[in-house]
Amino acid sequence: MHSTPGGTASEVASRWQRGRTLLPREPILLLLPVGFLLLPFFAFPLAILLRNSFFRDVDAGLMAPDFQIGNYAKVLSDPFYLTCYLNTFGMAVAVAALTLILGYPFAYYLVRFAKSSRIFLIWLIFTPLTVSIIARTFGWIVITGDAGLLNSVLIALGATDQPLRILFEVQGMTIGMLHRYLPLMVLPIVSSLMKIDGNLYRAGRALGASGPHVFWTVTVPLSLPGIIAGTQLVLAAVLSDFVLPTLLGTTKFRMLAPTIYEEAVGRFTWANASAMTMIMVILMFVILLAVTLCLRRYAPWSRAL
Amino acid sequence: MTQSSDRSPFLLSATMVGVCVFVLAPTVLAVLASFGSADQIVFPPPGWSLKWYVAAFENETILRSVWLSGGIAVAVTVISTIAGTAAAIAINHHNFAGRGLVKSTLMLPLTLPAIVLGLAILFALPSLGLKNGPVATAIGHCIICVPYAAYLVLASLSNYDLTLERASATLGANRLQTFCWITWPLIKDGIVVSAIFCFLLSFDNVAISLFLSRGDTLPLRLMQHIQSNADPSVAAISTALVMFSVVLMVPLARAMRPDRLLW
Amino acid sequence: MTPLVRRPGEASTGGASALEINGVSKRFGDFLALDQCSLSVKPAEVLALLGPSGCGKTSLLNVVAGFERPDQGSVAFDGVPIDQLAPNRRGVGMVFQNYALFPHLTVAGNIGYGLRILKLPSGEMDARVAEVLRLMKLDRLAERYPYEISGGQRQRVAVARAMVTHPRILLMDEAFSALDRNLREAMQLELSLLLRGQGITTILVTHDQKEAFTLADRIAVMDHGRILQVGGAEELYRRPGSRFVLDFLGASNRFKIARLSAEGDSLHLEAEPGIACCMPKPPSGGYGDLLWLHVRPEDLRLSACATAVHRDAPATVDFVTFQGSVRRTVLRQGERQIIADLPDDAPVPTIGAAVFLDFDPQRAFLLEE
Repeated sequence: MHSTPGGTASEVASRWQRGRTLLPREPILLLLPVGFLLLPFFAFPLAILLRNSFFRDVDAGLMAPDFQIGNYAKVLSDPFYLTCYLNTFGMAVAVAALTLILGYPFAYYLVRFAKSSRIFLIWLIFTPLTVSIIARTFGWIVITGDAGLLNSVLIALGATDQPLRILFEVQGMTIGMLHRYLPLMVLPIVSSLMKIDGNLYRAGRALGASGPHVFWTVTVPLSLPGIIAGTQLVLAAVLSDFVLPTLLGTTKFRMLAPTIYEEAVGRFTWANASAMTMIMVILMFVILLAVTLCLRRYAPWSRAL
Repeated sequence: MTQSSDRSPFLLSATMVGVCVFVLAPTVLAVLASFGSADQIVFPPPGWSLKWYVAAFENETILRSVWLSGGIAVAVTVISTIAGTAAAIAINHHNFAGRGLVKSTLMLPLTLPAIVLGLAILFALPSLGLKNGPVATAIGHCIICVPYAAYLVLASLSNYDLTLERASATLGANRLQTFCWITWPLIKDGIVVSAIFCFLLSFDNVAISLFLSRGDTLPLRLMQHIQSNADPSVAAISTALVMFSVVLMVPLARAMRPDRLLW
Repeated sequence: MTPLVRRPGEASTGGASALEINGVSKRFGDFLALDQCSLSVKPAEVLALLGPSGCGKTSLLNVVAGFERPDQGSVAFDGVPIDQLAPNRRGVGMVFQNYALFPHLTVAGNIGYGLRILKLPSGEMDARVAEVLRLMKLDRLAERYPYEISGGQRQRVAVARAMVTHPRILLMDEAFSALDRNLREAMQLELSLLLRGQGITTILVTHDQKEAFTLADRIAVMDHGRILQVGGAEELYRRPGSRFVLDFLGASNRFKIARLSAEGDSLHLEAEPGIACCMPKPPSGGYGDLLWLHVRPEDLRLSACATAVHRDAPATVDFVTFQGSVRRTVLRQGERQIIADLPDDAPVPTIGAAVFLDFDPQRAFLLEE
């Protein structure tokens, strides 16, 4: 320990006025790598995307820098594109509803009844997220294909003569999405349920309510933030899904992501593809915002949770 | 919330079993199908055989794509884990102006659909002097992996008590000593988790690779294979992938209490 | 064997230091946490910073430790300003409110951490650790991890860890608030003996008056970032300089002064209702601002007839509760509530009876508020 007077008290004080932390410059240094990645490869490309959406497609692969909204107009008026958006949106809502119906009981069981099996169940619900998407999709092909498991069982049981067309139809795609996005709905609900004070259940019973009554009047409303979060995640995911529609779906039921891919990489109509993408992004944010506002309006007390 | 004397109503238990079967079914079925002897996807298969494994491992294109995806994934893991960890430490340890903004911006790539990112980066490639290929793909993967890495490390940091570093300082340790003896041992689990996650995310990625690669990563090759001639060789490779994921998840399971991720 | 008890004249990096804090101010955004704080602590003295939460006591401790830089003012150890030194170079030992034990190191590992940094030869290090484990009665727990031991044991490990490196100054931040009451009192006594035996300059931060009284040689009472009064426990209790200090260290009944006149060395005063007495003049001589008479509940006695200090307007007994060592009696006089803590051998007051107050004017206080 050395003794260095280092100036008068006010000089010392002014030198340290700048930083609140011990080493004020450190956060900037730590944030540099992220900055180097996100600025040129995230912010800049998004700006280009926005710019391109206003250009005009001239020939395959070329665009004229015209700054017009023709692309947007075309996408929003052409029934081909509109059907595409409607399909995708409808699918998103359907999958969100289905994952809620299947996922809520799972989450509830996990939080309320599972003790030794809890860790196992959490890992179980994680597997769709971590096991290769291709592997799982292939698994669905095996199950829902014309010669797959489901049909073999149904035919063997005599329930039907012809194999049911599930695969490469909307039904097959829906099942695949349900499977893939179930964890996105379950995990936020589990989180929400875990935050509910266990004593509330006892309080309700002490006041004379039956188990189911407490469930519908206490547990479900208090888990609303989780339900909303899960719904938002699933909606956003379905809107932008590429693999499942491509591998399990059909061209008769057009979905957004494969269509955008086709426009961009198949037909090189980059400006159009950009416009479609921008509309998708805006649509997504609007929907998410609407859902959040609904929550705030109907459950203002959820802010405190 | 668990009450010790509770048992769940029958309907709920039955639903649970149903959901569990539903969740496991495709993975299990894919594995089973890989041992089938038929030339097409038939279940139950007429016989059992290992020929599809042989076919898969003799497939040049597939093998090349495994190396390519693996290489990209390693590069992405290294870059994303370092960048994400540094950002997480900056956000967690230091209270600077604009901290909330930085945190939101960092998570932004995750709120946008991957396809939007892929398309946007594709458009920006000429201006950045890059072309479709492994480098562009790796960069694209990093953009989605870094937020996950930062998020996971932040989550594990939230369990890390900052006063430990102050205690270390009062005991005489300089910043390097504090980092090596206190900070690192306590956060390395979170970093390992985020590295494994980034690897899997990159290795398995479809949406970004679609736009930025030359169609030669493993998931893309598999997809092409399924679309052109769906035969059980895909199942064989899928099974190998599943085994691989499972093996990687073991250290994940040990290092991480999954209920910590939930809040 | 290296003893922890300091020998007279032992100079080294471990000798107890004097601490001077001069005009330290610190702002966090709009909030003024410390306002021109000045304080001197003598070597081997134990000083308590006492005050309610938010009064700035922890901020002042952090400034001494080096975790916060003051906007103005400076801190010196033995006359040498240390404002530019990083916390790890100041030679302070610190015990944190939540103990901050390293969860991945054993008890012995935690205690030896600072010694390892000092690069002591391993023989001496083991000896010192063993010595302090014995001193703090932690011998059996050397190889346990923090999560395996109890709260009281963790606190002892935290203290041991801070002290084993012979810091020049020991800082303790609400070190007892996490313990339950019985354990807390036992640990306070133990620590008091330890600190006096070791002779380390210590600053402790607490909001608990009893803790300050038990452990400290002097107490500095703080409120809203300012040091209001510094002194020994009895001095602060008997001669509080402000209402805040008076109320923080105990309770009081206050009576508004109606008339005040000086006569020689004493003041004659009349307070509502019906109280009249003579008190010595304050040493500073000024008495114009003194508007209130305060009497502590334990200094009040009751009498059925008029007393020397209370002649008219008797009070009525509302209710009486037995508190163990005192009988707390709540009296009513008009709109006002008066509390008297009577000794248990005094006659039990009857509910509803009219009584007169009696107290020794020497033990009453005259304050501006």
